[in-house]
Amino acid sequence: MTNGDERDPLHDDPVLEWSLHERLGGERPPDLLAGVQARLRAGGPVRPVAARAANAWLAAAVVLFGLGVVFGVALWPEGSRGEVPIAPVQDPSTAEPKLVTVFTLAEIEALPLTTRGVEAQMVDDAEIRALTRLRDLEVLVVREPYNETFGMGLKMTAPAAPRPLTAAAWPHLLSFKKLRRLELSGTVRAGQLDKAQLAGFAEGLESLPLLESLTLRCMDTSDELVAVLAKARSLRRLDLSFNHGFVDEGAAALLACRTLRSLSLRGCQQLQDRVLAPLAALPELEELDLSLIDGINWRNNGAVMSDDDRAIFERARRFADKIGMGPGEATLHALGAAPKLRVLDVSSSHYVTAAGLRELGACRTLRELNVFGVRDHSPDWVAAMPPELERLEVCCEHTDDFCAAVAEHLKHLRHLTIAACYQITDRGLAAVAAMPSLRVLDMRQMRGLTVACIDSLLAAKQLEELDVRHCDFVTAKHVARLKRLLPKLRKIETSVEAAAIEQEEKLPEPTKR
Amino acid sequence: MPTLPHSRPSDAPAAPPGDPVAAFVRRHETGLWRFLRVLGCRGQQAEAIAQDALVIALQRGFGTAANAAEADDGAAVAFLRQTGKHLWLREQRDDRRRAERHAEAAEVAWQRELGHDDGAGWLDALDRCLRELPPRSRQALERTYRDGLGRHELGKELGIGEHGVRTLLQRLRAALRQCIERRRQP
Repeated sequence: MTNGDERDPLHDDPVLEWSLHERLGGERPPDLLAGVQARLRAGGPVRPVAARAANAWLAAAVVLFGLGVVFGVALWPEGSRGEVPIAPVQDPSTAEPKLVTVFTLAEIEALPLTTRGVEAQMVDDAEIRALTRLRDLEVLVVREPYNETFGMGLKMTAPAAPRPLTAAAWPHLLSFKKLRRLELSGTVRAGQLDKAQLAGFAEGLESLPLLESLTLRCMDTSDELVAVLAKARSLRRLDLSFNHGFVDEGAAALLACRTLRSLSLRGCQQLQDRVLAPLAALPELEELDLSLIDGINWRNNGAVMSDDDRAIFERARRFADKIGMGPGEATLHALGAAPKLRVLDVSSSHYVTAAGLRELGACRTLRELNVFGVRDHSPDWVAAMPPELERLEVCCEHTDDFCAAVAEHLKHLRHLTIAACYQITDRGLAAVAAMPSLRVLDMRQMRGLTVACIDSLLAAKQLEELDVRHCDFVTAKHVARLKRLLPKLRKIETSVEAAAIEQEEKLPEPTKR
Repeated sequence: MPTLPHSRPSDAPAAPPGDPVAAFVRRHETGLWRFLRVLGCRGQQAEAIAQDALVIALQRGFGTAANAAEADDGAAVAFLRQTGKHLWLREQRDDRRRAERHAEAAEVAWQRELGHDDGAGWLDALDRCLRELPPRSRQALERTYRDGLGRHELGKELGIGEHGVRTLLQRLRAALRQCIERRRQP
């Protein structure tokens, strides 16, 4: 638009230029609220101007004054540069202190008293107690990675002499008054509290007014423990993924967590459709992950299980040995009335049907839907989705009719995953590639496509990210052409070797054809 | 003409009641972002600067419970625009004078045409004008703004030279502006 001898239309008519970009170019006013709130919570501005400018000064310093000056510039206090300090844009998940990873008591004791974020791996109760001197701690992650694998994932052998965290550590874990995020993952023994410990746990939760995010992943927490989570008054995010310890009563108790905005029950194999459905009534819920409840992706325990562990695991297996595990039509029907739901993941669910998805379509706030691996492949639910849907992920037996329905009804779709859809042909791909709103296309391993589909991709000038891995017909030449001819493409994933692409890009233009 | 004095991103959830910070951000984010776009600020940079300006305004006391009345929004709007412009110009080190000249003109245009409703009426008029365009003109605009085609590629598609594309786009923009102004006349 601004090249050559043409006058810059932006300078001729900036108002018209902006409005055409918003109406035709797909630009939209951003939602800034979460970022602003996170910045305010983090204490406000900290960023010095643009990195580009700082780098320019550093480069000049090298040329003019040598390394000594460079060190001087680099070490100069931020406040003395006379700049208005501004923080970089952050979303809430990144607006937290950087985590320091520790494994031993010595490393914990060496932490400065001002430390605000810690990830402790394979530590025991005594080491957690040693952390309590960090009175400013805001984020604490405790992991036993050998208990975090599931399904067919790579297993990790437990240490020869594991020192597991136990329930006796809870008084220390809940003693950090500034704690905003607490994450326990794979700490199986810490999930088994007796009555007195449970009472202390409830009391501890109540005493943490800032706690917004709690994760009890890859461990087994009882119904009784889940029932007291509502004591955390500010809880917004709860992750109980791959937690097999609670069943129907525990799931029902989650309804008391009225402040929840994000809930993950990923891989909770013991939860049935009828148990999941009532969760749609959570009034603030925006993100819900019900993926991988498939009776297959059970958690693997790296360490040898104790009798208690084994009993809990077997109980969960008994519960899961029923028809209808995971979300189905009851859940989707209920979610159709969820007041604020924006993101839903029901991937790998056996009982998600086209009829259920049509009912889900009544949820007009829905913007992202993951139905990857869902087995009902009739396309007629697409028309029932809110037209404002921005992200959709599917795979398997979908056909060109599905692509046509997406192109016709989902005019605001920005991200589409149709990986491993072997029934989709060049015609189907052409339909979705031509969608003006589409920015990200994931078409990995699509065996129904031929080299002819490259022309459709070359015409998709709006694309910004493209994944063509495991598409055997894609060559270095194709990748080089796509990179050259798609003006907005900033990321392309391929299975072609980088060296071959680089060589192709170096060839003079005429020989490329 | 429809007005949207307190516009927010179309799909963004409304501010929860009793949260003055959220209410302040929702009232001003769209207008501020569009103002920055008119200044020439693009993509992530527009978003980052808009967020910076909102944080600074909130830290100065705008939008706090004691100062949240919509009657005070005039001062907040002025503060946000000035801060946004200042932050934008600070990053234009390569050609700051040119950016300043442009910002001055763009600011006048914003005040005159968009400031009262954050651009909602303008976009409404543009929509109607775009619907009236002949298919070939619409195609030229879509391929330029939606698909990012340059003059060379667009010329090949339309069967005209680069010079012809330049003239076509200039005429289209002029026609659109006339149409929008006509539609916005009281």
